[in-house]
Amino acid sequence: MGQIGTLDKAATAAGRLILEALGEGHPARSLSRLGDSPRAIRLLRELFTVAVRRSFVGREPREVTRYVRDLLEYQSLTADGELAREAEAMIRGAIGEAELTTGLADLRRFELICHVLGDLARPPGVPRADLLALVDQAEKRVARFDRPRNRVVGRRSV
Amino acid sequence: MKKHRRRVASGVSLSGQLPTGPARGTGSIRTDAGRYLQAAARDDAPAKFGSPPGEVDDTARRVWEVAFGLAVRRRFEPDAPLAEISRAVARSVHEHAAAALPMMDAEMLVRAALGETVPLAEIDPDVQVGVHLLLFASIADELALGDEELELLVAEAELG
Repeated sequence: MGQIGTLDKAATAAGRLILEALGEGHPARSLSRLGDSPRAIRLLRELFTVAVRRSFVGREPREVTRYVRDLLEYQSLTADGELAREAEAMIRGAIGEAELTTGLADLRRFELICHVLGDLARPPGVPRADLLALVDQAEKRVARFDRPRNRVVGRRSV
Repeated sequence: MKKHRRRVASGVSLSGQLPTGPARGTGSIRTDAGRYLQAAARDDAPAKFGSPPGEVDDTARRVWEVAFGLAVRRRFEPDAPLAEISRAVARSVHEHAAAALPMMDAEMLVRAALGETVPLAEIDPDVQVGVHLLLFASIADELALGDEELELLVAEAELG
């Protein structure tokens, strides 16, 4: 049995919901069902940033294009059109090219985040400890950015 | 009146179809589409806003697409770093802010012109025309093409 409340649990309810969704049969779909929880959406945005940065910062940027094609094909989605361009924009937006996501609707951003994060559970999947570490880091980012003194005017977006 | 100030079609069908009969010489622009592209590169209204107001036929689209490809390949090596491409695209999109070109669509068209396999489906035809015209204009400016070089490049594109 794991150590309840420490190693196998996220600190927040939103974190636990996300980990639960990632453990289900269709993680992207399960994550998208969290769309009615503002806290879960907030945490998913930071989790996306953390996961994408760990995967792509310092790598050849064209790997993002290859990754997106592979991701969408695996999920049986159209991999040669707008969805692919938007997914690439979101990922590169999170690693420093923020203006690529200008004009992208919130709902589409959320869908894309769910697709990419759902992919963390794709076999063989990210080890549980790594997943917990990602969620932990995302929770810390939420806590850090949402402190009143750190709030920025206007919307933060990934 | 200077040759490059010749009237370009506006509000009427704009074609890239070459006139029949023998060419009067090499390197001169012979179609309305070519003249419109030349005007775009010189930042002349209305071409500086991208898509022309009237009808555009397939031959015109083809001239602009070919010219765009020629300019892109003159500006970038096939394996140019993505950061270099995206910076140039961003500059051009900002330069032509009135046309509101989607940056990712523009970048993908540049990368495709360099031979990369990228997601190109579902790009709005008007956006495509806008990118072909306005990025061509930006690249012509970046390369500091003189009148003669610009005319040669457009004329080459007219030949397909």
